[in-house]
Amino acid sequence: MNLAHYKPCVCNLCGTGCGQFLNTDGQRVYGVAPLITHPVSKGKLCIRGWHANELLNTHERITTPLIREHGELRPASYDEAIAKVMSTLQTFKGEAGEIGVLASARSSNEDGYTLARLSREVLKTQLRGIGAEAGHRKSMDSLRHAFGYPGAHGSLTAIDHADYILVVGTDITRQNPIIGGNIHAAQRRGARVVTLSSSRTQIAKLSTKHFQEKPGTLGLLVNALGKSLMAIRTVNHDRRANIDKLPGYSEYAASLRSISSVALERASGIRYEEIEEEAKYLEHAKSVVILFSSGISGLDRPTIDAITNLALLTDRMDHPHSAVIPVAGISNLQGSFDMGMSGELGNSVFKALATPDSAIKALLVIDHDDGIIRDKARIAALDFVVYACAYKNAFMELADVVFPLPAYNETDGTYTAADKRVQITRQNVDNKRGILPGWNLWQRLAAAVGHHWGYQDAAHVFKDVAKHTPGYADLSHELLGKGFGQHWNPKGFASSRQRQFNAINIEYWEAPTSPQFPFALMIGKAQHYWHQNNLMRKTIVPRREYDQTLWLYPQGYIEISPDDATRLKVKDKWLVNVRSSIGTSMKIAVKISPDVQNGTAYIPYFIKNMISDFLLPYENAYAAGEESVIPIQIQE
Amino acid sequence: MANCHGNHEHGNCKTTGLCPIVTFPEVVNIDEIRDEIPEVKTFYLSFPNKDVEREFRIKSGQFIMCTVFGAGEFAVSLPPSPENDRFHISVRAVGKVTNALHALKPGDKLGVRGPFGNGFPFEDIKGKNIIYVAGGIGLIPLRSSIVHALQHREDFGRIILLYGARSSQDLMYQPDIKEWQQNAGFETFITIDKPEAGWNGEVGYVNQLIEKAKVPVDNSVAFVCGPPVMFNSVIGEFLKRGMSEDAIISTLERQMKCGIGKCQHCAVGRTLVCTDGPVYTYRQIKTLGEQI
Amino acid sequence: MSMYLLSAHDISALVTELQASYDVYGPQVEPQTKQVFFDQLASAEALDLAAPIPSMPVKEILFPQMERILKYKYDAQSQSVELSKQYFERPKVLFGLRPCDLSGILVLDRFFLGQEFVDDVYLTHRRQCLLISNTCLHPFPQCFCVCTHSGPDADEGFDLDLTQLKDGILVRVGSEKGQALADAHQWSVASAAHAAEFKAVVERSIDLFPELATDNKAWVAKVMNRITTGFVKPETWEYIGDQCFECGACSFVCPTCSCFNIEDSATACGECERLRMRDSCSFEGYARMAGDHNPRQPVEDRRNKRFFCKLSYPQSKKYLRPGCVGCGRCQWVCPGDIGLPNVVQYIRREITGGQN
Repeated sequence: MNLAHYKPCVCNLCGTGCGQFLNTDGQRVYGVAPLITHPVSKGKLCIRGWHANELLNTHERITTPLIREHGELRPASYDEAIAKVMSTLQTFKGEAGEIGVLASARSSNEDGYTLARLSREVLKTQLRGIGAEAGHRKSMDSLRHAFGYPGAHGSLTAIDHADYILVVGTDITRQNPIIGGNIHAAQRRGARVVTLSSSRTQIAKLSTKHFQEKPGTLGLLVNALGKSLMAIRTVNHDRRANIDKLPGYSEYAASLRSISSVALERASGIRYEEIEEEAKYLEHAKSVVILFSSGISGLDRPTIDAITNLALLTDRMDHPHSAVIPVAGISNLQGSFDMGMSGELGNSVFKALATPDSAIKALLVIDHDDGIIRDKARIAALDFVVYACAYKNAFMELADVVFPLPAYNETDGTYTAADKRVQITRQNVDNKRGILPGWNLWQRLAAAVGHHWGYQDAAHVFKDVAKHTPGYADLSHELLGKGFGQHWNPKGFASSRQRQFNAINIEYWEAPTSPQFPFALMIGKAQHYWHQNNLMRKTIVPRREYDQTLWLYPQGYIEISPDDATRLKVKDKWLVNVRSSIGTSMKIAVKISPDVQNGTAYIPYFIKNMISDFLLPYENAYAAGEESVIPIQIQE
Repeated sequence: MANCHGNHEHGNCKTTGLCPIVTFPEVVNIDEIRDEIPEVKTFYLSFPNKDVEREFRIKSGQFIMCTVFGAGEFAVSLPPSPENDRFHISVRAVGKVTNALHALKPGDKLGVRGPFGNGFPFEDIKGKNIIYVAGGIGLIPLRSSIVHALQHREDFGRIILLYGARSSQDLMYQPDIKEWQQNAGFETFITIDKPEAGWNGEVGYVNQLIEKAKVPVDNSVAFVCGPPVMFNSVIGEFLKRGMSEDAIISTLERQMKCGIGKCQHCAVGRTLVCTDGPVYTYRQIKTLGEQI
Repeated sequence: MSMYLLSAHDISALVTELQASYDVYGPQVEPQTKQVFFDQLASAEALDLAAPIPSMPVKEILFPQMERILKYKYDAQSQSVELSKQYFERPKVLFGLRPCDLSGILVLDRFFLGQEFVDDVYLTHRRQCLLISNTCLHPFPQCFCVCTHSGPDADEGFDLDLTQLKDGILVRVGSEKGQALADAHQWSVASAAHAAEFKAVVERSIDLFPELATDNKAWVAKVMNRITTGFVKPETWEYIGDQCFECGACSFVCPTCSCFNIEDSATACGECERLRMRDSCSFEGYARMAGDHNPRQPVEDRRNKRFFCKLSYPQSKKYLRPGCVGCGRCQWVCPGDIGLPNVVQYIRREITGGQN
């Protein structure tokens, strides 16, 4: 017998995919509870998950279709809004690059799949993209080359058994806290946990070993680890692996051999002997898990290639407790990618928007994070913008037509977590206002111009997903409803057994700092580094926590080391002038932190005016993601 | 009072006979709004429900929880005297709720719960000299006690006010101050941080006034309210002169949500500011183990 | 104390009978996940008195995670306001409370009702509650109620108390309300042998506790002493603080944590509801003041605030027992490793200088 109030579901607030119960009477959501038997979260939730009830109760919802008239959005019927959207879109040529579709990494697979169909079959556009996908595409390309399929290798549950866990870059305790908790648990049971991170993050503090490298040298460090591992292999004939038969090995080996320990130490600040020591542990580990952050702030391609290569080099990737996981900050980033909503490289909606003379005239956008709207002026200047989202946000101002969407738990949907685990969340709360789920909205848009898909419900859509999506063939709503989801099957890709090394270049990255701009500024590693700001702004307690830092530092803050603060003669909370080498500047408070190295500085990712005014002109900051470094000067 | 959910057996209701408004805000009308200093306004209030008004009795040093409809609730100290004074609050716009309050106009309604808190120990200090020391808006929580003490002038020895602000623009309750300066039984010393054209009063920090006023230490009690820097320097000055830590009294401000000792937001060390405070002696404050 | 012996059928009949005039809550197993919740019973069959300790504390019912307490409509034009109360009294039976959860309710009673002010919202949920407790025949993983005087059997606060014996279910009466319920039925009176069996059952349950739990019994008192006197080393708090993920879970699953937050949330133009939601002192923004500084800063300070609340003499005086009831849920839900039993361990290690 089902319980009166507790309904199982999957948390939708990051890419971990934790099990969760909602305490609901079907009308309102009163609370949440953790799901103890869930294989990944095991009865734990982070602050976001524990407050999902606040998000699901927010009144900042879009409740009806809206059409812009005389500059104002006014309520409209579905019939009117759908007719308006399709009649307008028909005046543009998708094939000629006039229509763009910007999908959400939070949409369910059903919504993503139908949106992809709408783009291809009805709008006939190639200009697609997923908000926050930038870094994930690089992860997927690297993994596809290395393992033969675009997705994580292995499962997040491997953390619970692996001998050796390597965390590259990310402060996973903030970004995906439950994964961080599992790593901490692994460390306590005796696994060797190693973190490579330029600042002393919480996961660094909880690790067995922390390599605090200079900014920009993560990939070099990973490659150096590869070099020492290879050196051990060469002398240890008992452990001769067949990895040298894999394509790309000799080039990779040659590159590794070329690493100079002197240059390594100068660039990264880490001694090669330390890395040689570390490689011994790695050599002895029977199972190895490597985690890195993937998404808008993810790593650059050379670093990811270094990671996938090192994974192959360990020769432990066939062990059931080994894994290489691009950790996604957003719930269905992997799924949206699987559903085909990612744009083609060089022909994506992002590229079209960023290219001044591109043909794009109309844009369909789903659930966009209003804190990071890129190319806003271009979007505002488009002829026609359609926006669909469950929650009100600033992106509505750019739209000509707005559609509401149900929140998760108000409709059936499947979500694919960072490790390819596909899980289902059923409708547990009434969809009181009769809001069309995304798949049905896209179906109605298609039908308005004569494309009839005939989907009855989300399960029906998923049958098509299974039929047409590599790896999803064995899955169905019925099956997913029975347990805690299932990983999609890499064997769905013909190349899934073909492993090969990525080509790498050894570069001793020189910090772009100079006597004039002596600080290496990095973004995104501040304490409140939450990928879900868009949603967390709609809650109460997490929003307060998120704002907490701003109460103390109303202008935002820049983290520097105590030594540097002394040298600059500044104190905590003092305002300083920060000027970048390309001339942008801002006034911001100093936050003195012992976790930061001398010569480096960090600003939190979430402070709006910093993202737009200070960072957006800095194109490279986005391209390089987590490893981006901006030379700055700091003046009192 | 119908609205009272005080525990009559244990609480304030029994000891004082005053039943506060505990759970549901009572509606009050904003009769008048006065600009005090930049960012600070005084709101004169009255209860439309006269039964409630009759039973709404306060003690100096207490506070109320004030609802700005549509924005939220905040704790605010009570500046009026318990006797023969207009019901009002003085509020600085610092956050979402207080900014919403500042946008209101006369005739608008507010919600009020309370009064809460222990209040100043008025009975215990009879016969003593009272020294009020305030910095900036620190005068707000002291006003009630000042007016009340002046209403019972014969009960006390010397009554002295040492008040400092950044500039003459930042002096609270200027009509009151003018009146107080005329009062022969009340020694007032007002200072501003930097010299100003047209200012004939003292210049400098409040702690320097202690010397000037020849403040008596024996048989005296000091009420000190102001920003932490001022607070610490004034306390230091008093202690140097041999004043007892029990004779220095202040009020603490903390974030409050319930006002009745339940939500625990205002927990400081082992006490709750809403029910054990907000009035503490310096000896108590010292042992709380947290920042002021 | 009167004692009766009931059959499983009698219990079932009692549940059904009570359902006519009460909302009856009890332990049940969620079918898909096998997780136990103390939730409203659709029928007597759903009640599972043998189910392990519910995953969420019973305070869920008396002090929900989030509730509406007030609604108001404000018309700026006419400058008028209408207020209405949003919480309502419903007679409830909490059927089959584990003794730790019963102790939790007693602590919340003393806190919300017994201090200077009565919390009207809690009182309204609590007023017409019948409490029926259920002896734990054996401990569940992570249980340590033997250390905190809150199990495996209940000794106060219940209206009726149930214990599964060989021949049936022993019912002990703990209040007039409970006696009235017994008097209204033709329950057979328990014998002295049943009373003796009850004692034996409790003894056996205590014996079944893991060594660590029983061993910790004296240590809990020692640790309370340390925490009260403030002699726990900063390094120990820092070690604990480093493992805090600031999720708030420990507070949300603790049967005695009572901190809450209040927020007015606009529903529509001029309409607003006042929400009251659980809060946790481990959150950074918990104590911050508008436009000003935060009096509590590093995470370890916030952590030890909570442990002070659970394990210190002044706090025990307020609750008339330790603030911790030994349910072990905080250990389940903590993504770090700082559930309360572990904190006792860490402080114990500090006292013994590393020897356990």
